[in-house]
Amino acid sequence: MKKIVSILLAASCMLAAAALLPGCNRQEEYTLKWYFPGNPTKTDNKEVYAAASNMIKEKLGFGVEFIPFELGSYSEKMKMIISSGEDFDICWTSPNFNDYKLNVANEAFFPLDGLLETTPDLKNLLSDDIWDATRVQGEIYGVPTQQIMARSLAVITPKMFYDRYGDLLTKADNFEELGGYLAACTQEKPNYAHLNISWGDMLLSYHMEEIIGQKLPGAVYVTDDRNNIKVFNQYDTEWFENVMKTRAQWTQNGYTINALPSSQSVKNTEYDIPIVFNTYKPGLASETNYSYDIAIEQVGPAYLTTSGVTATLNAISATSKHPEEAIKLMEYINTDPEINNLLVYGIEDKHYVKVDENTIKTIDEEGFANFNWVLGNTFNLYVKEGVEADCWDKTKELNDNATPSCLLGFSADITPIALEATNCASVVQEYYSTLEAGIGDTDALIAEMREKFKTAGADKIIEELQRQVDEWVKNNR
Amino acid sequence: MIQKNKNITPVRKKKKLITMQMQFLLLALPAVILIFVFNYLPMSGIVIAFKNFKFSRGIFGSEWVGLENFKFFFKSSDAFRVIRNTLTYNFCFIVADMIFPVAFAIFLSNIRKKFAVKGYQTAIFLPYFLSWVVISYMTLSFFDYNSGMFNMILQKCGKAPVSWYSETKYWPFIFIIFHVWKNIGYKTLVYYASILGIDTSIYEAAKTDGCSDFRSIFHITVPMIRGTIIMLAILQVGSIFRADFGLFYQLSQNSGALINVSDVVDTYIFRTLMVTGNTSVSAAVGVVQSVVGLILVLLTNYIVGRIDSDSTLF
Repeated sequence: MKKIVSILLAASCMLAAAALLPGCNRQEEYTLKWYFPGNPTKTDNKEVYAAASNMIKEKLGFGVEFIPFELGSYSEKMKMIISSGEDFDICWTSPNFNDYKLNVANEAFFPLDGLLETTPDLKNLLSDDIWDATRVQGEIYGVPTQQIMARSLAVITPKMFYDRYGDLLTKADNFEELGGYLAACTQEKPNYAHLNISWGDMLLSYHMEEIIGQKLPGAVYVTDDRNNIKVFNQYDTEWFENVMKTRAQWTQNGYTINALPSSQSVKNTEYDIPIVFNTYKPGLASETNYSYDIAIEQVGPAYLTTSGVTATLNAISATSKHPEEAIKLMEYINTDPEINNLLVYGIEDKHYVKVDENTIKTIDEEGFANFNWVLGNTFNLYVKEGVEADCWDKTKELNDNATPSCLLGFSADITPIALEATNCASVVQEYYSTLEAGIGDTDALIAEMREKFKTAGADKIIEELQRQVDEWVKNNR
Repeated sequence: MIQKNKNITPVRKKKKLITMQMQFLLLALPAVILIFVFNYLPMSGIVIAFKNFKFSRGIFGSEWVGLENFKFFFKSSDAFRVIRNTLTYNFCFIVADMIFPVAFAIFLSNIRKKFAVKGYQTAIFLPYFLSWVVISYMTLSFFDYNSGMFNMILQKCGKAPVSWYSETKYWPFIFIIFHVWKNIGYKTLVYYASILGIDTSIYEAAKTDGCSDFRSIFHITVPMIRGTIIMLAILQVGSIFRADFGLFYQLSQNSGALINVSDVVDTYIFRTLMVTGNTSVSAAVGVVQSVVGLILVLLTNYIVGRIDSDSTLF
């Protein structure tokens, strides 16, 4: 018995020791680890990432291990990796995936202000406005990927309808005005439209911006005077009632299917021609994947918001042992077209062929493909055949011409209102999907929802956000 | 187990005892190690529940906040709904898990053909190995508004289709039915094994005395496996504050309209994590779940002991 106990004890001591001792730090050679959303199942991943790693090694003296995860499971995977305190160097982050602010609040990322001094090329790539938008409590924690940063509502729709009724879309300036277009389409094919509404972009078409995102109470008019910003509960407005009533009307008129869960119903029925509301960007058509021709129309104005600017960032992990090298690596990838194209399109003549100087044609997307907005500066990339050649110029122009939101650079600290935010999240969850699908008694649902918001503490959220905004305005004048 | 065996063989020498039980101890070793590594070592992590956990500072470097994280859960406006749902569902599950698996085990034990028994066993055990995600898509094909099987049948019968994923009244039953369906195989097997352990001469004696098969079920089988039933029930009471996340989150397609009947402690923890990313609060709720479970197990065991001291767990 004693023997067994002692064996057990020895085993447990070893395990405990293994858990406590940090891994030995080898000096000679090291590789950096970079987690990002991509396509882990592509057949030539190994080859391309090895080529990229070699290229980096030649230039900077160390290799890089690129580890792509499916976007759908990226947040969960990163949550596990970060919470376990794993030693890695760079990870991709954004407001909605692998939550940027939350990770910063949990001190999972390395502050970058000091490091950026050593990489002026990276720093100068983006304007100060944009860098400021990534600041949390005064510090930069992520490097934004140069891409579409302006935010506006886009409608993706089958081309056959667009060709006939497109002028109705062009006329529309906000969400509700899209009804005319839907009505026209419905005449040809009743009950077919599947509205996939991107809530944040929908608000922007009314010049509003959510502050703590993800449908939680707290919004401002982006056009507010910077010295007099008023935070309000978007669910408590007449505007919300009107939008939801319009939405319910669309269901009643037979523009859309009328049941939950709406997203699944679309996939497995004949309702497979969706009208999707998305974020507008030039070249969007080449990234969508439909079995028929589509058209895309920008609806309403474009704004520069904090969440738009921080939509795709790469951050250095607080556990990284090589933060200086990591920022050098990001500078290299953001400024050198060759490595960037390799990481996005793969190897020339194997995965793509050049059509002309700046245009390529992909020939083996099963072999290798990556999102172009994840790792580095999209403006350095080739343009795919079929996309407007001046796609990046147009994007740049859209970015430059977008009106900055009055809250650009502000990011709320959710900690003091965590309880209320959680409460409100369950209220939103309870009612929003029903309202969004345009089913049920809209008036009654909204009244109930508002009642529940009161007990959930929505007012406290608005109060606290107003206080934080006022303080931010005072400190940033 | 060691303790009990010692009582049976008090005269044997200590050394001999070990060699005698060596094979049993070896047999138990992998499980003991796994439990130690996965259930005992991480227990030090309970301390997270009392801290404002920050990744960069580590578990022991984070700030101590006392009971703040516990207050978060109980002050939440969802607390009542969440606790009510969790306790009610689990109570129903305990009762259902007592009735149906015992009934199935008795059915099985009365089937004479060995081959048929194996077939039925496999059939009812199969769902136990399916993940809730898979099941949720199966149920979607039943309940979907446009193309679901149920709505098609309703329409064939000339009735209006039902929007299943937004009608709360059906879901308590759906949850209970699917819980029983998924878990019945496992428990049936346990009861079946203990029914097989009953001395057949008792049945023969009863038959000679003119007892019908049906009556011998209630007067022999059920009393003989009472110990097993009580043991499994006590164990289940221990997790009464825990809910099956997959059942309530996946099966309902996380439909917001159903939140009143589908929100349980574990879905609440998940939502808290999604909104605030606060690991400490989820840890705190986890501690509450475990402590409540421990107290309830001890309490039930005590009560069972007062009524019938032979049926206790320990």
